[in-house]
Amino acid sequence: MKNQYIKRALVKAGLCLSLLVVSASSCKLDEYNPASLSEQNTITSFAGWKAYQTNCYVGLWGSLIGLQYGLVSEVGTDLWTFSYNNHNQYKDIMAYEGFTNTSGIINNVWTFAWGSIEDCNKTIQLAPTLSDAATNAADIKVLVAEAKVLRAYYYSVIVTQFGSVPLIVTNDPSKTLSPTRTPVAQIYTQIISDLTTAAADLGTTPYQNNAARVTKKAALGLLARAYAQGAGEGLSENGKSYWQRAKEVCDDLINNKAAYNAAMYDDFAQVFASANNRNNIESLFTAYGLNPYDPSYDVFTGNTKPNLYLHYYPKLDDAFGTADVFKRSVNSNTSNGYYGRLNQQFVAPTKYLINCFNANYDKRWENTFVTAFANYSGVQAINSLGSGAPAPANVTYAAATVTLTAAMCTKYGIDASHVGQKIYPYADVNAKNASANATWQYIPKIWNLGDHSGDPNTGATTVANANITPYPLAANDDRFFVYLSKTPLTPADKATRVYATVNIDDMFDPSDPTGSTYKAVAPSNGLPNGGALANLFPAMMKFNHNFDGGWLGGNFQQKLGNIMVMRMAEVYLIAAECCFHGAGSATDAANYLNVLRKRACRNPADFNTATGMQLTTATQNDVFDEYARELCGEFSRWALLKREKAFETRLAAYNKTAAVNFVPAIHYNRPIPFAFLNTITNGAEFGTNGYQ
Amino acid sequence: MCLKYLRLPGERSLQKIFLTTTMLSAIFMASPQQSSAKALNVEHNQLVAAAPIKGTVRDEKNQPLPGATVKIKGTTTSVAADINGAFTINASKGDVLVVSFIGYQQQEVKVGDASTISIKLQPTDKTLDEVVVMGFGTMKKRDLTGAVSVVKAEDIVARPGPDPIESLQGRVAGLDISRSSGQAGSGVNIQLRGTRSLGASNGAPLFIIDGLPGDYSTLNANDIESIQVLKDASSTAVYGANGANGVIIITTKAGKAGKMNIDFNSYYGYNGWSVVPKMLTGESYLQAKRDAYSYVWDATNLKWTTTGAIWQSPADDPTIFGAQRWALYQQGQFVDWPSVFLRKNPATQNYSLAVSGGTENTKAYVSFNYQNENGQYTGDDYKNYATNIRIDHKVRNWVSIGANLKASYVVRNKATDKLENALTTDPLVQPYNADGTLNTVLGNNVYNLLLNYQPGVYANTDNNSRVFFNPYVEIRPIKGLSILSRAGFEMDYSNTYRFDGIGSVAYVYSNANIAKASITQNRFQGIQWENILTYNFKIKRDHDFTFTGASTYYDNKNTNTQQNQSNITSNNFEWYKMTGDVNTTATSSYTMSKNMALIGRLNYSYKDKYLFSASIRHDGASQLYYTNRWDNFFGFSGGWRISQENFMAGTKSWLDDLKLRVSWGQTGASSIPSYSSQQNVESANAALGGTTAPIYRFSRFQTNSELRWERSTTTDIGLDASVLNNRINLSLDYYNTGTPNAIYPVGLPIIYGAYMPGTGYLTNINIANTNNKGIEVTLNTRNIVKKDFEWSSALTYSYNKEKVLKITNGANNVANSKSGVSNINDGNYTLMIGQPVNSFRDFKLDGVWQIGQEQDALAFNKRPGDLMVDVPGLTHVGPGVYTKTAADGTVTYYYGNLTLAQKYNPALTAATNYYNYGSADYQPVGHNNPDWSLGFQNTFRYKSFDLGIYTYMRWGQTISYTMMGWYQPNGFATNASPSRTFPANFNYWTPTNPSNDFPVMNYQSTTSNMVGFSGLSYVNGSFLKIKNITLGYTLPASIAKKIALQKLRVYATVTNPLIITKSPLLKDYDPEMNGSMAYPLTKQLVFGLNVTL
Repeated sequence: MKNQYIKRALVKAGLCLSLLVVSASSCKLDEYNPASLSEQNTITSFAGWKAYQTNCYVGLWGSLIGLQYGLVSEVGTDLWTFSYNNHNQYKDIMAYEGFTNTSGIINNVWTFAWGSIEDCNKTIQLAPTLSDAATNAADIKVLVAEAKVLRAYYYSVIVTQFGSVPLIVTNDPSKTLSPTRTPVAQIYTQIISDLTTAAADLGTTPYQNNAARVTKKAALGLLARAYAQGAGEGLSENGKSYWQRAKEVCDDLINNKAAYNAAMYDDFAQVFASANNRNNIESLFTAYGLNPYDPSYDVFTGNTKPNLYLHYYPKLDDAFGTADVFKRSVNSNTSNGYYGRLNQQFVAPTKYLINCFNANYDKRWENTFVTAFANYSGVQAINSLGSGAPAPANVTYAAATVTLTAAMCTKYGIDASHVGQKIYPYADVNAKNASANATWQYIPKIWNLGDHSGDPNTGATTVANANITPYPLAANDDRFFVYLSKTPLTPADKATRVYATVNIDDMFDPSDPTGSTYKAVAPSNGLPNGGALANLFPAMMKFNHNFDGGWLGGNFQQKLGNIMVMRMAEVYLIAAECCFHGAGSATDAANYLNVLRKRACRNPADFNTATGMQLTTATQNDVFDEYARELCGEFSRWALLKREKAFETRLAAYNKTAAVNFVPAIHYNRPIPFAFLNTITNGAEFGTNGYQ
Repeated sequence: MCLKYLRLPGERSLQKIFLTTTMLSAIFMASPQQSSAKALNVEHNQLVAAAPIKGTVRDEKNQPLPGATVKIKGTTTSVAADINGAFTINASKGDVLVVSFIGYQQQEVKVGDASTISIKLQPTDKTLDEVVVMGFGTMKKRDLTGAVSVVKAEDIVARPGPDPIESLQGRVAGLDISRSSGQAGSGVNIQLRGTRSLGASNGAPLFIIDGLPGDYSTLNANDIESIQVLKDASSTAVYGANGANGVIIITTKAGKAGKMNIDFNSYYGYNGWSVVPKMLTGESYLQAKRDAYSYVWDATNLKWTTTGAIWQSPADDPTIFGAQRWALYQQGQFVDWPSVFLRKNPATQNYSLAVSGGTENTKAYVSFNYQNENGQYTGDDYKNYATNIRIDHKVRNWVSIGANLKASYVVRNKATDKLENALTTDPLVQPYNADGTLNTVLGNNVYNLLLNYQPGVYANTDNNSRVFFNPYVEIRPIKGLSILSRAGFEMDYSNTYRFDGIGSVAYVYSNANIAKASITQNRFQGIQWENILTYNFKIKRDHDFTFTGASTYYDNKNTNTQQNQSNITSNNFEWYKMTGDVNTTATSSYTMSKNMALIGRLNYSYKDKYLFSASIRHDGASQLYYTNRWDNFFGFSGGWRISQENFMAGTKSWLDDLKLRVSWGQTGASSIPSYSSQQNVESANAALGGTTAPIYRFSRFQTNSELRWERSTTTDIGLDASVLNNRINLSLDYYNTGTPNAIYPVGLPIIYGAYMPGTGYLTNINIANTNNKGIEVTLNTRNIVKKDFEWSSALTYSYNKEKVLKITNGANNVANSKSGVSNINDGNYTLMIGQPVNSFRDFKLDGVWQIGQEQDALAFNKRPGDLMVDVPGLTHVGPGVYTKTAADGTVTYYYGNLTLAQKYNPALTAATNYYNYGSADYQPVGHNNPDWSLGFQNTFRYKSFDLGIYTYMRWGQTISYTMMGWYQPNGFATNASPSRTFPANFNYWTPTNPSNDFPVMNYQSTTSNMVGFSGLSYVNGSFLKIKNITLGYTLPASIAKKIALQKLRVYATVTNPLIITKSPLLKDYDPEMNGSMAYPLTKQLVFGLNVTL
């Protein structure tokens, strides 16, 4: 009986136990996430909201200034074509060939341009509701204005490229999966409104002196650009055409430069000088790069670091191999410290672009294009680090020096009289250790011509921009192994030179009178090294900037320098452009252009009408040419041809390769990416912009 | 009685093995038993005058059955057989002798004229009485109503290897297991009855180890008593939320009352002999190079011509190589990378010792295991030190307590796996430079692993400690009632140490000459508590009820920390000198999840004939949005043992058992990642203007307050039959599983913003409806049973048809992709209506454009030798002209020659209108799950030898074979960066070789401009393999006894000796690797020893 009693008690206890377990824990299934925060306790007060606002910038430094938008905004125009006759990469955007809505690069532009808009919307939307809005009103006004500038910029990229798209300006928790398009005019109205309010609210110095942040001049510059672009859509405002409005904004900026803290360098060489990269006074709107020496480098939250420069450079190892005159190649994964890892060579200038420059007077030629290629040494790095010098810099002066043999001379068409002469390195790099992921930075000096001491302390100089090579290249300049001559050289002249020489004119296929076809790499093309030098072309260097030093050790294809999304020179060009749309005279246009032409002169005395550098009147073609000389590569040419409705004429004249495939009814807008249509439920109705 | 205790209550098939044990025991027991028998005989002699009848009792294999009882029916006269199975009994003619022995069917023999009788007993089929472990309880096999497969201990250890589950491959119909990596210690992929859930991590079955969810990977196979696979939803419904992908229950061995047993098992052998594709070398490389330069395309005349081609004769060989490489070629410096990078015969070994024993009240089991497997790369190895300790104690008749401790410590070194890159690189580069130093410049993206093989340069080591402690108390207060409370505490400490020192592969190639180290620590703590009440009662003798009530509570926490160090100045430091300055970074993260459930189940059986079961589970999971956290899951099943019916009496002679099972049940899946049902704000840092700016941003997953449990409903109809005295056992199952609301993370349209640039927001949606139907067959036969020879077979066959029936989002019947890049989803697979879940979507190829098809090819701007892409919806209206009709009826003409096109539409004016192949032309190109698989085990026993041959087939799966992508004609260009090679069996197109396998070999063709090239990777991966052959020898018991052993067996096993692939493209490749080339699967030869003391 006792046993029975105990058993019964235990049964009860057991049952109670089970119930207890159940009841005790049944309501405790909430998630505990110590690493996250709620919207309420973070971004609803000023400090948190301000931290959230930074996201508006996150989409800026990456693909929108890198390969993706960099190419989409420039190629497929009269300025650029395929390097040697090769339609491998990006033939869709470069030549409208096989262009479908599954184009990856177009999808990138779409994706990255949209990415930060929602953050701008949320920032703007939250501002009035912040718990401490009143006490921080001044700061909030500026930060909201910044968000508006950025939103307007992102939308301007989208509307320029894709035309009518959904206009989303609020962060609505219920998101329709059947979005509809907003007319282009309405999108421009929103852009103009954002930029106008922002221009009024922003100061002339960046908020908290952070140079990444936009100021009043950015809002005004983008406003001028947006008016001009919208003008191409035939828009007007209060009875004034957008052209007129664009010109008004330009004139305001030009006339009140100082008041807006805007400026122009007196000398074009200053625009892309290394020292001016971080604080470029001419820049209106900058995508501010990373600082490799600062821990912030390692917390970068954007997407890829830009590698835009690379695509405008030739593959030197395809042209020369790696066994004789060219010392290091992409075949070594540590690559070449001077040019980085050149393995793309997608984009080369058309003959039109090359011919735009009168290199005799216009220094923009050698400040834009590299035409002589060289080896480099790492004597500074070896001197300071000894055997610890990282491999890319561990190159002695001797190792970087080539002695010409008879075989080399034959191979590259160098006159046999130079056998036994030496080709020395042009640059010498130091190596400086930076943050964990940035690794080494390689800081260059340039060996002085004629100095063969191998001592960088005495024999090498720090220059403003180590990418620039002398123009014209002296016959005895023994620091280069190849020179692409803009001026056709005679065989006799070539024979005097200690390096391989190719006339740029000889690189083009004569069967294309528009100058959009480079010769194929073939033994029959008449170029040295069995035709392999057809891999070469003038390399556009504007994006070859790394802030400190030329090269980023962490990735030899990427650069950390600031990239100017818009600079003051464009304002003069827009103003000149407007003159041909009822907002001024041909003389007015010439005056705007002369500002740019004057500072481009190699010698100040060359600025006169006899050299042609000074204009007294201008045609619309002069404007197109000036845009090309001044801004080629700088995210603008495609938009220019679009707003001027000039694709048909200019492609036919200067880029036959693209012209044959250009269909005006389709190609004035980019395809709506398949990947996006696949995320919405009304893809068929939304449409692809006419693409297959 | 003594005998009974000594006999291990093992399975029938084990009985023969244990027979020797029994015999030994019989010797000890013989004297008292025989003497008592004699006493009885004496007694009978006094009552009945009868002649002594002599006889022998033997088993089905003619082995004597000592101790068998021979009794005269209707009397108390009985004798026991002696050690030789012989007996003498005084019986009269006409008497009926009843011969019985435990484990054998009783037999009656009428005494005739003969004075000697030979009796052979057949073993009773105990399978039906076997206890099957079900969720929250056990059940006799005869009472099962669901689809449950049982795998026994001897099958689990039959294939030596580190992963106990790998030995289930092909053993369980419906369970698809494959091992794709030959890396030491790598696990297997497991999928039961197809894919229902869409998330990558959601497909694996739930593992229950000794009652509680656990991880099997470090379990010692020798410790496993049995594995049960619960396949149908009525069986798994009690696991509710976690049961959707099946439940695998592992029961480990426990001590048994009686004599102490000591088991020692070990094996030692070698891995290696991988088959790796042979690459183009020597003459074949030269030929490919010549082919690449022998033709040029004449676009005007649309033909390939040798006119103007660079290679005209062998005199041009130096031109196409370039002087430098031509010299190398002439030196014949071809490298065989596999032999440079892979070790010849890495050893694999295992030592396992288990001691068990106990009394009626206290039983204990202790085992230790040491396992050491070496991979083929130097520095690739896996060591596991494991123990399993188990104590069960009966305190009183009505209360038991016990505990189980499983602990393991794994040390694993991982090598860098770049064999694939080396295979496909320039075969003329050398691992060493002329001066003997290592060559670091093998080519783009190709790593000289020998760098990491230098001492002290590289390490990537895991050391994982795992302790699983599992105490319980069980109370049985009244007859039939049991209350079990069981707790589980699991602690896993996983550490990964990585060092890429000065001179290592990463240092040279990817880390820009910076030495780096990292320590990653992962701490997992799991608390589990289950309470199970079982009450078994009978009403009116024939109505048997079992009620089970249970509660479960699981609480899991994961803490992860990572420290990184860069700029390490000496290789001595490895990860031991984190400096705490700018070169050091640290991060941590935390996740948790909780699950709770209440379970009720009722089993009912009437006369063992009609069986019925019903269950309900009320389940809650923390990962779901708080309004939808709880849900109910039901299961019902019934069984009818037809053979028990009276009308089946006539079949008794050949039909031993026949059962029909029908079940229906629901299971769920909530296993979305923690924190993915609700959006919150993350704190992070960003770079702004060259300084660090703290930022807030929204988490990647946006809230979907509508998100509900994913539920699968399965109907299963099964038939079990055993005939001819259990010589043939057949089990058939048909199932149909519907999952109408599978959870899938979809990408939100980018117009609603991005989590980070290029990374869109996601939200979990109950997006799809998936369906799986299938048939499973399990057939066990004992084909030949002779005294000295036995042959038995076990065959499993499973066929599964899987379909996505509905996707609530996306265009073209394709689910939207997370990455947003194209209409291929992340992780290779794309969700498409009408296709299995793990389906590939890419260009579907119709081969290569051939000579004679120039005009047709031109409509696509293609040439003979280019890939021919199948374009859905395109009509070939005539030579060189195609049309496509849009949804609105517009007909578009595609052509490369206007004259041809104008024949069909004179209104056309554009000179050409090429059809451009694009990713919009993607189609389903196969699925990764097999259509069917078949396992076929044949076991032969001749005297003391045993031979097992296991064959496995997996059929109908498509694999994405990574080597295909390395076909690269321009890798043969003079200035290719880098030069490439590819497998020698790749049959590429040339104007004289009209292959449909690979496109034209021409140095100017690049894979990036051969549109459709990505479609080439999908290859039929069907294969047949002899998975292993085992030959064993068991020392005869009589000899074993002399050296004081119960059992001694030696064996040798060969693994993967033969592979036959369906696709010729998979020459020298084991398709079980599923397309990868990183860690080739090995062949294995091991020698093993099993000893029982």
